[in-house]
Amino acid sequence: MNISDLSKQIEVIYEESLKVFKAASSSKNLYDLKVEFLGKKGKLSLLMGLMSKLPNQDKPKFGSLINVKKKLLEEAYTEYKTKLDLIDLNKKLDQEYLDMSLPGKEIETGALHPIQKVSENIVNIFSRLGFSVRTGNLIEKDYYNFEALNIPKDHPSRDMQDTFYIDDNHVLRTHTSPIQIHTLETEKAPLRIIGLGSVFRSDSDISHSPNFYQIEGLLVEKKVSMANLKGTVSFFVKEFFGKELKTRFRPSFFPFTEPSAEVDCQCSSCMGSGCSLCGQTGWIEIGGCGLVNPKVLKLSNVNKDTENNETDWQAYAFGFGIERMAILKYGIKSIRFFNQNDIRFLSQFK
Amino acid sequence: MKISFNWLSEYIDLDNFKSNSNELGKKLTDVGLEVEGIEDQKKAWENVVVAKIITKKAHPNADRLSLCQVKVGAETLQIVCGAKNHKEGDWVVAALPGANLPGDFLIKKSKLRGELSCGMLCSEEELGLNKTMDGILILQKEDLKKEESLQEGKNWSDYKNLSDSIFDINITPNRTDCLSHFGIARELSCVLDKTLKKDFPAKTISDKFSAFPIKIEKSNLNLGYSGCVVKNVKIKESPKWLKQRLASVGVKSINNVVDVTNFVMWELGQPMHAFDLQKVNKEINIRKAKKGESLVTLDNKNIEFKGGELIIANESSPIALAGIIGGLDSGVNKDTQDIFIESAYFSPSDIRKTAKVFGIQTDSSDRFSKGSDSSILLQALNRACELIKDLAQAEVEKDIFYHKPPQINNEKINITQKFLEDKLGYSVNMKDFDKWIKALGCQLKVSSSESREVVAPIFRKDLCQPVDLLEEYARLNGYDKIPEVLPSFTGGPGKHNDYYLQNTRLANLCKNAGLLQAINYHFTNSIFQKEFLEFDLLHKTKDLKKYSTYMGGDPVSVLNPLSGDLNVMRLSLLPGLFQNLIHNYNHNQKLGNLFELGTVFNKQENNYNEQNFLSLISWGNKETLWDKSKSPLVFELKGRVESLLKSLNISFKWKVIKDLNLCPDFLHPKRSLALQIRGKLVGYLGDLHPMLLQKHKIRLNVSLAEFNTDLFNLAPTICDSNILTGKYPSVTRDLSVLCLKTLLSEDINQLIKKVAGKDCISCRVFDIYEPKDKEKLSITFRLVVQNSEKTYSEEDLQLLQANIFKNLSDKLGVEIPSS
Ligand SMILES: [Zn+2]
Repeated sequence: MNISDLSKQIEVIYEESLKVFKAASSSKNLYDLKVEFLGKKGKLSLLMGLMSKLPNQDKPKFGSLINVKKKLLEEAYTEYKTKLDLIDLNKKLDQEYLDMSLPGKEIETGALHPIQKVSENIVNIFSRLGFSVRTGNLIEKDYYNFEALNIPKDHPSRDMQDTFYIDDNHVLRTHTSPIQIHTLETEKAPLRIIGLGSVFRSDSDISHSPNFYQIEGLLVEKKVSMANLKGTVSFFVKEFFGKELKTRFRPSFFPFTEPSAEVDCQCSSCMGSGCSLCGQTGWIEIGGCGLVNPKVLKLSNVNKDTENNETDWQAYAFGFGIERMAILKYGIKSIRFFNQNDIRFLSQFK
Repeated sequence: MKISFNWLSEYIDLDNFKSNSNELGKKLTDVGLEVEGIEDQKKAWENVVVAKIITKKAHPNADRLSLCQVKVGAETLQIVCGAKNHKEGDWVVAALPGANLPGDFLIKKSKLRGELSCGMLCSEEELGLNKTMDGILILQKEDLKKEESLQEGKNWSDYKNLSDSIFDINITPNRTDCLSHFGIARELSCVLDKTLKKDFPAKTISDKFSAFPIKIEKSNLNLGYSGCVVKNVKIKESPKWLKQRLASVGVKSINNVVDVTNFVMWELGQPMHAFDLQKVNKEINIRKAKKGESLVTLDNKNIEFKGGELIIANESSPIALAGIIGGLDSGVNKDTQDIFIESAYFSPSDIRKTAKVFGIQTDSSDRFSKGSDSSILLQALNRACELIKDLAQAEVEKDIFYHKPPQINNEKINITQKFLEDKLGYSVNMKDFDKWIKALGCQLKVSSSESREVVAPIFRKDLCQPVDLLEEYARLNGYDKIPEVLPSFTGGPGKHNDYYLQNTRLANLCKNAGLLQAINYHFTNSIFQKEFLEFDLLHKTKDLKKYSTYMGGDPVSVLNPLSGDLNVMRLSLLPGLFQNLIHNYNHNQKLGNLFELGTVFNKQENNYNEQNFLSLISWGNKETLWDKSKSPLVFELKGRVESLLKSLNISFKWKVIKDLNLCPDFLHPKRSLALQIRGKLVGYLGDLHPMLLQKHKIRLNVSLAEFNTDLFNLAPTICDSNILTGKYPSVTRDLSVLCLKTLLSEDINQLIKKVAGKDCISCRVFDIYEPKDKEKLSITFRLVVQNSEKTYSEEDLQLLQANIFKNLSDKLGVEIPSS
């Protein structure tokens, strides 16, 4: 056996190997062929075993010859494998075809009731001014709902609020103002609070619900003015509607505030030029407010009399109807929708 | 309250506003007399004109109709008419296209049986008048003669002198002085800086009223009473001007005397009453009614007195309910000859109480109960006497009865410029202050350049504190002068209360879990609530104890509900949510998830409890392309609740309800669970009882849950770092067992966890398989274990598994499939 014979054999195996690699039908097939030719017990390795029979001076030449071919074959293998892998991958991708126009799996999206959404919205605005939320009972003592707010028994101002009675001494609160009284009694001035919750009036028609929601604010300080009140309400209006809307006060009467005002804001739909939403007036009534009547501050022992001493606490209060704010913000057409809980309505308030 | 522009003009010059009543309305609103609407009578009768019938022919296609050529000004129009009472040459009223008759009846050009009709000839009723003739209104000759400038096409409002604007003013309870035309004029004289055109002299007091005795019971001395006798009254129809005045404020004309009493009330705010002197019968007693006495009122209702109500009585019996309504018998009628006119002041709270007891509200009771002007009695009496003298050709007797009302003078108010400026937040001009305060009728004393001493007139009882004067200054100066300044604050930061924080958090968690938030009324229908919560197969009546035991008491009723649908405070949120479900189901929403956070109410002895609940309701099976899951709906709800509780970091336990007596009636007895937190029952979850579904014809699965969130015990979040530091990997093993269907999977699960001990990371039901022919169920649990000191080997697992199986079989009789 001499080197030229072996070289020829190498050449034969190399050529054969290249041919079958090229003809391989899949990367699995190619891998098997690689094992057959290049594996530990492969054809090329078998030739390697013959090296011992060569004269010593030929061994290095043979070794390098075989290594060169092996390397070339491995390169060829990699080349074909890459091609075959690509074919396989494309086949697999084809098989994995999906009609991507099909709908996605439905993940239910919940929604907050518009009353909840608007309440949180309003609270967040007043939080920025330092106000914090208080809540209270819905069945309230006559005293807290009326008398402490300067609405004595048999007084005409009781007629302003049609009242549901539970017994002689308990009512369903007609406003959130009892929250103010409880806070005045239990917490120390100065104070900035927001009272929030459900209220009741025995009045029901297309624009009145017997059970609705209110939000109100109370600030107790040494110096509180109508200008402060207007500043606060005007800030709120701009933040809530996200527009530079003007705020207007109109004289009014509430037994628990003096002076009292109704609050109008510029109609956000027509920006004040007049439209059907605002009845062509350019203004929309959103709530009431005023400086807290000295009689109320005395009744809840914040001040010891109503003499307007320099050191006395003063206060302002304001209140809004939440449904009204929701109607204005979202364009809700009827108060009927608020308590029907139709899921087609509710699911709009994400 | 209705206020007529023309009437108002009698007392104050309003020429500037004649063609611009809106401007006057704005002025009134700006000072706190809110104008809620202005009815322009001229506008209301646009395109309604006086017309003359030129020709009248039969309609070619309809026997009952006639074709009229009607002259309505320069032109003549054809109008089809269905009436029979008109003839050629008649003067009639035609509503032309564009007219809008009372009752929102819009007139259009139209074709009637093929013939063009350019409007309508009006009947009295169509014009909002009382019916005196059949068919259309034919204007009478004597009417026509009076109208010198009558011509075809003259507007109906001009013909009838209807060129008034009626203001609808919302008078706040503090401004009782504005409940009359004179009162509004007085306010306007201050606002517009104009003097009043008229004043009202008082009747001269005499002390020898001798017509008959008038006795006032000693206990009723807080009233004022005046009156006088008018003789030989000629009761007849009121003149046109008076009828028109009353009509403009919506008061029906009765006869000249009654109309005068009403007129004076609407003019001066003082309610008046006229008695037939014959029925007064020798004596007037102002006293409390005795039990058993009765009175038939003017509106023909019989009132039985309970005793103690303030009445006007003659010698023997009641003739009027003081300040509220007169008696039918003692009223003025066509045969009345002599009358007694009353002008009185009654204590507001007396009138309020009595009016409330009998449920009678009149213009008179309204004014007295709000507090009438006690200083105007004699002016009103004089005005009424003068008018009656004039209109009924009567003789007014000179002597009057007068019991002076308790005229409590208003107290002195001290006020300073600094006070005004501090509270208003802008600088104040004291000259303006002085001018307005005087114009309001107050007495003003300038104590120094900055301080004032003010006494308000008797008709302004609402001005009693410095802040009241502050408001007068602010509103007359204009609320638009108030600047906008954010307040400063000397206190520290605040914190929202716990209820608000928890409620907001819960609402947002539920929203993120895919639920829609519902809000229902806090009151509901007592029968619906009872039949839902206390659903009873045997229809036995029982109380709500079972469910309310867990709630804590009995239902709370509303004393004066609006309707039976809202007559009791809710014990639970579920009846409301179920009603929402019914609404949605009936609107073809066959799938949905709602939650509600709200207060429920109950009563224990005399305490009212309010608790905050979270309730959920799910209905319908999801059958979308990717979700055809056949898992029972109730487990979806259970999953939602579990994820919610986990989000809140609450550790909780479910308890299968085995004792039927502990299961709320509305739940499916075989599909219900109780939730425990720290060993305390906080609520239920389950399927709705199938009989309730059947009753309301709901053909869907419904699952629901309700929890008392006041008992939720929110734990703080603490990070467990050990979970990350374990060196050795966790391994998973599925364990299948065969067991009786009655065995609870949770019991098996607990035992597996117990045996696996501290190495157990988790164990949960992974699969359930029900072999067709067997009574037993195959359940697979997926157990994850991890040891802190070594990697779990297969041998370790085998050992653990054997141990688990042995325990399960020994303690629970569970079979281990041989496989
Ligand atoms: Zn607008």
